[in-house]
Amino acid sequence: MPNAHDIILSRNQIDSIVAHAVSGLPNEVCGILAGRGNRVFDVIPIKNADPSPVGYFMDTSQQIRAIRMMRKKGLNQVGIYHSHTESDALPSAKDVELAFHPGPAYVILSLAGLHPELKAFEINKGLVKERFIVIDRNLKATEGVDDV
Amino acid sequence: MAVTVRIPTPLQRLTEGKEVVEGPAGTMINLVKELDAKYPGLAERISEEDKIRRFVNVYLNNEDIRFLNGAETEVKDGDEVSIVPAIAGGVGC
Ligand SMILES: [Zn+2]
Repeated sequence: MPNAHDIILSRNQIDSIVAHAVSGLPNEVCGILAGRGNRVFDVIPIKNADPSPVGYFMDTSQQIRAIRMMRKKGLNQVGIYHSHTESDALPSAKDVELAFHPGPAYVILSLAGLHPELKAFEINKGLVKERFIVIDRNLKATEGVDDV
Repeated sequence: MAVTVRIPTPLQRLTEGKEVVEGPAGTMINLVKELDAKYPGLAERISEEDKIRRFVNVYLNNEDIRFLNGAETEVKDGDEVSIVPAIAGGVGC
């Protein structure tokens, strides 16, 4: 049984995060994981407004559009993801410093190694705790979501 | 009528858990100060020396106030203001 601190994703969702990260190379990509509780329903890619291999800054108007869409669908920001192109899947000092959202999991996908590496963290006031990623084989990408 | 202000989740602990609060028309910075009188601590999280903080975005209806008149932007009754903390990170400190 997954516990409340885990983040639950489907295989397809993980694939789509990896595909998004690969498509953004050599720069980092970022996005929002919308869902309920700790279960992700939608992977929402957001434009990196400051494209760079060593950083990201979510495009604010796309971020706001995603927030409005989530509000309409009754979804929350379950996670925030971004990619690392040259370093491990660990939050950098700046990632920690700029983590203003204590609730959602910070999911980092690293493409630096031989295989993609995906990890999730809780970052709260400078404290970093790893969270488990649970793969739900039955979870469909849009399960439980009524399109508005 | 008043100005509707949408508070992001990380700041809702300052607004008694409210996602939407109301404030008076006037300049944006004045609105922030008025809200701070009711919800202490809010202004400090949003602004610094009467300017909006760098990693906080403030939207008036659908416009980023940086492209309007910044903290001096006029806000009218019926307007919706959204406070949106930036989501960012990176290696270079
Ligand atoms: Zn990072």
